[in-house]
Amino acid sequence: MTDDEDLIARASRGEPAAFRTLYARHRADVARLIYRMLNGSADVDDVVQEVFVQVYKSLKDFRGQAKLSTWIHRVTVNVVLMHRRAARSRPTYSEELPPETTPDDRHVGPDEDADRRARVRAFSALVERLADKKRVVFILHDLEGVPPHEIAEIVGAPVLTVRTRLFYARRELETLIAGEPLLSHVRGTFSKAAGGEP
Amino acid sequence: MTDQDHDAPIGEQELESDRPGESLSRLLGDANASAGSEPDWEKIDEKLFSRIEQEQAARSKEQRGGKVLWVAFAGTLAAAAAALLFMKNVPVAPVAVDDAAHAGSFLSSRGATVQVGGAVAHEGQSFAAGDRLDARDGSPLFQQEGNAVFDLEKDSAVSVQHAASPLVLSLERGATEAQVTPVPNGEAFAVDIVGKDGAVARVAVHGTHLRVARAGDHVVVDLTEGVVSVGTPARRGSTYGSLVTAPAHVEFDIADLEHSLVVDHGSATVRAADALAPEVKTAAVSTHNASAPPPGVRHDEPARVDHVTATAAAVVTAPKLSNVDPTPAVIEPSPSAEQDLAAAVRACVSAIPHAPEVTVTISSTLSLKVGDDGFVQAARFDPPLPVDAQECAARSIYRKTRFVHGGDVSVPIVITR
Repeated sequence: MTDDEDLIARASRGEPAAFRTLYARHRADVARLIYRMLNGSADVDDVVQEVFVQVYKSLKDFRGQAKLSTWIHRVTVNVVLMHRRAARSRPTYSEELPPETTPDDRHVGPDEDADRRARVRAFSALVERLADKKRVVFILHDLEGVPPHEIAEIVGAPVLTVRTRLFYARRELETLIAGEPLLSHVRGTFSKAAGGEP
Repeated sequence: MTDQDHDAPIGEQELESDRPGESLSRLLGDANASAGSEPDWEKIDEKLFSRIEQEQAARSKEQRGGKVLWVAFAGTLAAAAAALLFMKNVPVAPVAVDDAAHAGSFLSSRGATVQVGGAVAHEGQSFAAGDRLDARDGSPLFQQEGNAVFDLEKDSAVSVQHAASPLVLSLERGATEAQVTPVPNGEAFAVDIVGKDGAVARVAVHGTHLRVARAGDHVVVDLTEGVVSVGTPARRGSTYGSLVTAPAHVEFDIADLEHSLVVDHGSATVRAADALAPEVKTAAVSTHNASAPPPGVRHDEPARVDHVTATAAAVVTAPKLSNVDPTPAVIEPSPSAEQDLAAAVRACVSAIPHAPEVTVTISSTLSLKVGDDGFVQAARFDPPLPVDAQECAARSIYRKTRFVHGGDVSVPIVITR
């Protein structure tokens, strides 16, 4: 029995300490994935909480058919997608900006950190424009480093479908990057360094 | 772009060779380098575990609802059986509380407002594995019939992790003090303390009187009787940790138990035992019969060691652990202390009965932390020996053996019999 299996068994029996240990082990990964999937929305804290409540409730049904981390990723993705759907159905009165994006931030100084933050914000906004299925696969693979066969378990699709979604997500993003004025500097750098990019 | 247009099949080869373009790679690098700000973990933890407590309370209610008839029936049977045995003057074993739905009962409020599983509790109410016991404005008493009586000090809270064999409480805040009836085998009672980073320390006892208190991740254990093991919960079997014999005042940090553990056997530092026993309501087969501390010993009085002679139940054959001599005879440093200890451990292991037709080989290492005065401050068997053998060995290790020099000592133990 692995350490995780032992903790799962004990947490399923209602041992608070075992659940706390599982939570402590996985919370940072979960928070990072949520942050990326919600594009840094202010709701990250609430969604982290919701994910672990769902993990707690469902732990007794976990049969070890996947790695615990994969299963927790799956719960996370489902909770985030539900959260996004719910958020879309709520009325909004103004355009919501990610927490770090304030009007002043748009006039950043010349330092590299500020440039990088601006690029990341612009890039995140483009990722946000991808359809849910492609966005999930892209974030899990290219940002979180999850291998395709695990993503297949997380999203409940064949590995080939996962790789196809990833292919189209990258192509679409590259097209979006090409049309994004805030990222012209990145394109320019590579055009000079590599003699142009398709 | 819709979700329908991205599952169109692509050639296997094209997928194999697919990589992010250079612009995308650069942006991915930037995105990976900025993972966002750290969430407000304190806020998340507080809300999350409050919701989980509510879940647990709801589950406990469901379990109790479903099992109430069975518990009543089993209780009637147990009482009848106990009465019959008592009349025949046959030694009675303590009731084993195996049913996870019943871990014990709320004995006396002693002025406290008590919540069990999130709801205000009344005296006599039972609690179950998964329940949280929360004491406000007083120091209530709880008991597990035949096994342990424990209190929660004012504004303390524990959650019940395991109902029996052993009864395990997770100390969330404050302090708990317990009188535990020795059991013939294994551990009877344990207190877990979970640190902020998820590390878990366990104080496990075979039979003893102890108090465990926490202030954040710092833990203080006062042991007035018996032997405890301070370490990490084992997946199965005994707790893997340092053996500590009474009287002892123990302090450690959960995050670094091994290096922060300090054991002081000086009688002036050990907090006096609280009077838990006089209010024990005798259960049908309760074997608990500890006496009150001497007059004048207040609960919050800093400590001198008072030997509250908790008599193990007459029916329990485990050795009485409370007779620690507060003024031991002068023990001279011995150059053969290591060999003496190895012999004492072998004797303890040999005393454990086993089938004569079986050859048993036990291999362990006794790691000792020896103080400058030559006395052992902490001892650990790796892997652990049977509980009875460890407790027996502990009596030789602490205060009975004195090394010439302080430092770390490792004693290999290999016994074939």
